[in-house]
Amino acid sequence: MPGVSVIIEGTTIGTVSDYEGKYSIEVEDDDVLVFSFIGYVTEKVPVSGKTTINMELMPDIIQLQEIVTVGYGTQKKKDLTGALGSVEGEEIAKRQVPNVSEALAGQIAGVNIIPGGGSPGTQPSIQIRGISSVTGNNSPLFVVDDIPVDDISYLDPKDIENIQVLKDASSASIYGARAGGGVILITTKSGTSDVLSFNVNARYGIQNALKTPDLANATEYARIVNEANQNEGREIVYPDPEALGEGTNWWDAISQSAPVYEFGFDLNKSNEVFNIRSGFNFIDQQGIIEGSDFQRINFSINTEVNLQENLQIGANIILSKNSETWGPDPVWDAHRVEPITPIYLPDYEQVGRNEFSVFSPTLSDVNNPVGAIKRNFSTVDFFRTFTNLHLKWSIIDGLDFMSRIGGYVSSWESNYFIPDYFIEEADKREVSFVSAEHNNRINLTWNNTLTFKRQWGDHDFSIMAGVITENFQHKKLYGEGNDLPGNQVDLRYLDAARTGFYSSGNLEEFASISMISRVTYGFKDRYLVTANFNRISSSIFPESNRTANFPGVSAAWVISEESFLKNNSVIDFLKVRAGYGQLGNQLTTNDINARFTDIAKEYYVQGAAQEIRVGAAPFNVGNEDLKWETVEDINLGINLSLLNHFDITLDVFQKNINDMLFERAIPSYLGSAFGRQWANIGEMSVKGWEWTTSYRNSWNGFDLNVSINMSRARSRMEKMFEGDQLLDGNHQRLNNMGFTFEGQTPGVFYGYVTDGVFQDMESVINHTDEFGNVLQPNAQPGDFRFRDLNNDGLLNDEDRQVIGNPEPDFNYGINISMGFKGVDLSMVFTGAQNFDVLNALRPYMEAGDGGYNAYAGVFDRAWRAENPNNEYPRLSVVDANQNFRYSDFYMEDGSFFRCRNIQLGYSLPEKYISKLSITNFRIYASMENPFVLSSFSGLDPEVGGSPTLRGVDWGYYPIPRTTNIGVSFTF
Amino acid sequence: MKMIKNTLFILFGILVLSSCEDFLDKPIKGKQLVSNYYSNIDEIESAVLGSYATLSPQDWWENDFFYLVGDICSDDAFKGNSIEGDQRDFGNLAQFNITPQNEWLDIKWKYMYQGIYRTNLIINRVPDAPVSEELKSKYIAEAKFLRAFFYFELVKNFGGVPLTTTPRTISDEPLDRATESDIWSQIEKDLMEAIPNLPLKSEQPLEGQGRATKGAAQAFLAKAALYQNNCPDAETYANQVVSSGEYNLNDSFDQVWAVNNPNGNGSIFEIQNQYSETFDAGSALPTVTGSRADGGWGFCTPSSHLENFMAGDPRLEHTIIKEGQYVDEEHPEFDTRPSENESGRINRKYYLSFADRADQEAHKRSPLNHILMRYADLLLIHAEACSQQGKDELARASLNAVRARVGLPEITLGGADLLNAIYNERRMELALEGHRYYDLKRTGMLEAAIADFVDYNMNRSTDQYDANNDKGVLFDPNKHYVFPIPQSEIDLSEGLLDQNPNY
Repeated sequence: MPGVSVIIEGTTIGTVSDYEGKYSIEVEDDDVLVFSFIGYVTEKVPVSGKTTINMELMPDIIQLQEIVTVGYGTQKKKDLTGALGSVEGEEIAKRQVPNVSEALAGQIAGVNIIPGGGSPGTQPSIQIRGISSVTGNNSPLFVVDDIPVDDISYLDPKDIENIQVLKDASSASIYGARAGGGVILITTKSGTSDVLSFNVNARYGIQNALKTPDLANATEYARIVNEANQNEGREIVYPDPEALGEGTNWWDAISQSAPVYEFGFDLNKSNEVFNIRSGFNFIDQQGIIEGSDFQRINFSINTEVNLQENLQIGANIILSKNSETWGPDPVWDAHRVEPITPIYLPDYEQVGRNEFSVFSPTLSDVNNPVGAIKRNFSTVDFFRTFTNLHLKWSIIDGLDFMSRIGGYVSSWESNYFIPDYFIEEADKREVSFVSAEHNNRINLTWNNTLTFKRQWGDHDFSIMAGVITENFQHKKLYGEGNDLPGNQVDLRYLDAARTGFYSSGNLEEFASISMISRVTYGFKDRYLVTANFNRISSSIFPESNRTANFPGVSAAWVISEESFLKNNSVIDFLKVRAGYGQLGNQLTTNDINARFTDIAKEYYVQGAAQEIRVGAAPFNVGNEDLKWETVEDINLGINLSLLNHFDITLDVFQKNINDMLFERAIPSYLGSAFGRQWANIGEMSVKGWEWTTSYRNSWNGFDLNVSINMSRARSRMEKMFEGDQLLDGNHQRLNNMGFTFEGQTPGVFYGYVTDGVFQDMESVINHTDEFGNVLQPNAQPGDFRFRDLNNDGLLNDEDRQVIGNPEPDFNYGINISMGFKGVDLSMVFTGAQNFDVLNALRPYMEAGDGGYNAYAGVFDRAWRAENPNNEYPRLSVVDANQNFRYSDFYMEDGSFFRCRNIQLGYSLPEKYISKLSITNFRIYASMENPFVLSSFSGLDPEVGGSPTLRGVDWGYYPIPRTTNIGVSFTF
Repeated sequence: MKMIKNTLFILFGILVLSSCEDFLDKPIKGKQLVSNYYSNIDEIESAVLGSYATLSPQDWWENDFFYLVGDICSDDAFKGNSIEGDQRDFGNLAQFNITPQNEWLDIKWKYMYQGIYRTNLIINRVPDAPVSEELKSKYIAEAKFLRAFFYFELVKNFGGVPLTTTPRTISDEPLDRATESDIWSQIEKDLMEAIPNLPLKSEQPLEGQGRATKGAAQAFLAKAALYQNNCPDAETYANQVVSSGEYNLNDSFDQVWAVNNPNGNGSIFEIQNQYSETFDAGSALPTVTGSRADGGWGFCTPSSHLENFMAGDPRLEHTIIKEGQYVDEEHPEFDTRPSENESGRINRKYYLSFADRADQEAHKRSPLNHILMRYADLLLIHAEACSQQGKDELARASLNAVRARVGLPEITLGGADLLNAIYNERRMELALEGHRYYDLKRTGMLEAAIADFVDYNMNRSTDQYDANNDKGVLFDPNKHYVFPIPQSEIDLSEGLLDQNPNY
């Protein structure tokens, strides 16, 4: 075999086998030769005087022998029968991001990370295999070291050992009613090093906007206003646009280049009696929009002690404190505010005003964005502790008992303050305002499981059974007050408020008990069956229906173990899988409340003094039978390893979600006026596939690892309540941007269809129905021609159709890493192909009606007699034709190719550092989010959203590009 | 070892046992549920107050706006605001371009049934509450009064509607329409059962002012009888109000709708309003009907037809504000903004001077009470009922009492002329208070009135503002004596509810 590396153990002396597989090397008698080739098991052979050593390397199936977490237990990777995806901790740690979710981007087919925006501290959301609910929760369940939690923002990516994603219901059903969105199992690092190791890492980065909006300057703005008025026969407003020059660039005024610092270290040690790992991490990140920042300190300690040979206890404790300043997110306003307005009032007008009132009033209803930033005092302080104590007892060989208590306590306090200020009548606050909100959540979990594993000849059998008890409490207390005696920092507390007090508070409490079990059976390592079962009783379920069962079953056939494929030189491993299971999409607090008809406050006046009194009346119409949404799914998959270098995984699935929660209209005599009733009435299907191919190889010390994954998950509303539709997303200029109705993907875009621009009056008059009725009597040359889709001679709401779909044809991720003699280079790319996005700023920024600023170039491209075109209508202050109504004019292809990370590192050779007793010293430079290729007009095509309103850019806070330099070393 | 084992098994046992119901019983906190409400005097008092609130829920569109329909669907007023897209469906009502999809009909329907549901709960739950019989009957009487009012509103707009006297749940069988006479019977039954347990207006404690009284129930009984052409009963019930001596016409006409005269001498029942920013309380009508040049929205503007009809009547200046007219110091030449006002006029009864408006500019709430029944209305009911029975003497007495307040000479007519004079008096006395369309309907004069209105506007009128307004040309006598049942309600009934004819 060519290319095998042959090295004398403990040295860097070595050679490589030639094309015939021959090699020669000079050795001492007591040397040991190390034969290695990527994809094969490394072999060590003592020379012991031999002159010829012939070596036959065996393919490395360690990868398949790998043990993976599957929820309350482990399985060998090769024995898996469900659809799982995994990521090693080092891939997670490699990324220079503050949260684990972001680091998963592009790693696993079918696991999409949807950015929540670039504001520091924002958690992206994770979607596994598309959406699984329309009105409910789409987030996966996180299970950290066997304890289910709904939040992982306290985890430092460097503390992660590995992550498993349970994608299909056959494997996730052990988590039952909460696993509708899939499950992410996170195992944190524990002590593994037999000598005390001490790792240090630090980085410094600069964040910048990836794309800057191209806004019209004051001159162009004035030209647009002038022409929009002239086109309607009105006087021009700005006689000399050129004299206005550039004006204010509001984007520059609100954005900045922002630093990020991170520093951390960890200790690691293990021996026969105990193992311990402890980590510390600090991160400080400012936002690229002024006024937002994020700081987090993390501390973790994970330890396990062997009390006796068959008894261990351990504790894993994580403390996390972070502080976030939430900016006012002025991206939306900074686009729209007119450039002819200066940021600040002239000096002489500032006299006598407080520091929040020195800003120029604007012409439009958009308030001065810099003023908004300056009076933004919105901070949140989180303190989270995650404690996980366990006891493992091997009762007899093959029978293990595990008890685990997890306590997740999270408390956070939000402080909010608005100073009194006056910019203009429409932008003022006469009295200051202060509020504070305190939240405390306690989530206690107690797992007790018994696992029995046994092998008899060709039969491999295991059974796990357990009881999981959970209790959840969320306490909330809110207070607000007005009219502080001053705006000073030290006065911004409720005690100082003088009027307008209001308070609220509540306690939410849930509890559940689950009986869980898993049975696995394998015959001759070829035929594998897994059955999972979760029977849960929960306070969340209706009293009439307090217990639910979630089964999952899957089977696999390892074809490569069959004699006809064994020792095949092409196929190293081949497995086909099939699985079926059911999951629940647990009710949210709102749904639980919707079960009851509660009493709300009503006000009425009475008495000679005409006093307002508080009365009461039923508020809603409860539905006592409200239950969880059920996700049912079928998965078929193949795992294939080829030619020692390729791993291919292919899965196809169909999810059917039944009993989906929607609000339905009810007869008025039930007393709720326009209130609707929540009920389990919808059905949705999600169909898709996932495909992953990875390739790894090594040539003369050059290692290459490439992994490409692609996935599709397309949802369709199969049933809604009697032709009902759910509309979402309104602003001043576009209504109901997202439509959800039967037969379509939830949240499709639905609007009018344009058919070019009228070039002359004749074509306006000729745009008629078959009877000659003019369809657009208000139109003029330069206005859009809209299609009368139903040919009824009227242009109205009936002439709308689906004009875009927010779900891509497919998503993909590409991971490339390579190394050569201490130099490492890695890249992560993600992308999505063929989906529609709506830049909700365009109705403002392209209308050219002078109310708001425009994108640069709107003036030049607009239709006018001298510039006839068929794409962009004329400028008008009136827009009698409603050119800028919701139409396909706004639909844009959101396809993008994003480089998430590119990183170049260099590890100093051991000979330079060993004297300093440093075992590893790496320096690196990296860029997070260096580029996005996309034709989208907004700042970033990946805008996320809810199932009923996706792909709508509301002046989205863009994810910055971060340029980092960093160092890590190990003692 | 053994000890550990035993301990574990005990723990395991405890755990399994702990799966008892207590652990899973987590009721909702911080909220009262309807299932165990109405259990003490405070809760019942609050619930009754909550039923009154349905008369005028918080937002302008929820109920206040529909009180204008009685005027815009008659010859007294137009939609008003001439911006076509501004409340288009409201304009469609005024034009008799009415479809079952009209949102205002849906809104009216929904809020009336919300009130019925609330009162049904009280009437059905209070009997089991641990409070004194006296209090129970007082609260139930108020609830029945309100329920009757809500059904009255439904029947006069839609005819027969689904009838329920119990709080229904979604699992109950769907309800079909009851006949119109079933609804009237229920209204009369509720009012008659309420009367013995309601106080006289004078007995009402100060803090209870504005709530239902015996007189109010009797007055609505009289009106209900008149709507059914049951003149003897109408006379009887009206007489009971008159003879109670609780009401008079001592307030001068300009004080009837004065903001500083809530529940005045002639007030029998009115919606109580107070301006409050915190509670979003107050009547929206002054803003909704106000001039668009004066912080208003310009809806329901009076017609020149009405103005001409009232020519020379002293009540005219307290009924209509015309473009350019002197109103008060702040409005020496009133601007109705004719470019956005269909008739260059606004309703004076809902007009508030600057001093009486809420602090905030153009705020849509005000403290003006909304009168639903007043003594002049009752006297004219009495007059009409008597006249119909040939009791001209009695009829004239009531009619002339109303005229006397505003200094008009006595009417000495008799027979059909007297009845006609009573109808004319109703139009003038109660103009723009939301009665006209319903009065024309019930007296069978709607078709002729609208025909005359169209003819006047299109052919005879020389009015600067509303001449040639073709409102009413779409009126169809086979259709427009009732409004259509909201389509959404028919859809939800899966076809059980029949639509009114010709819609």
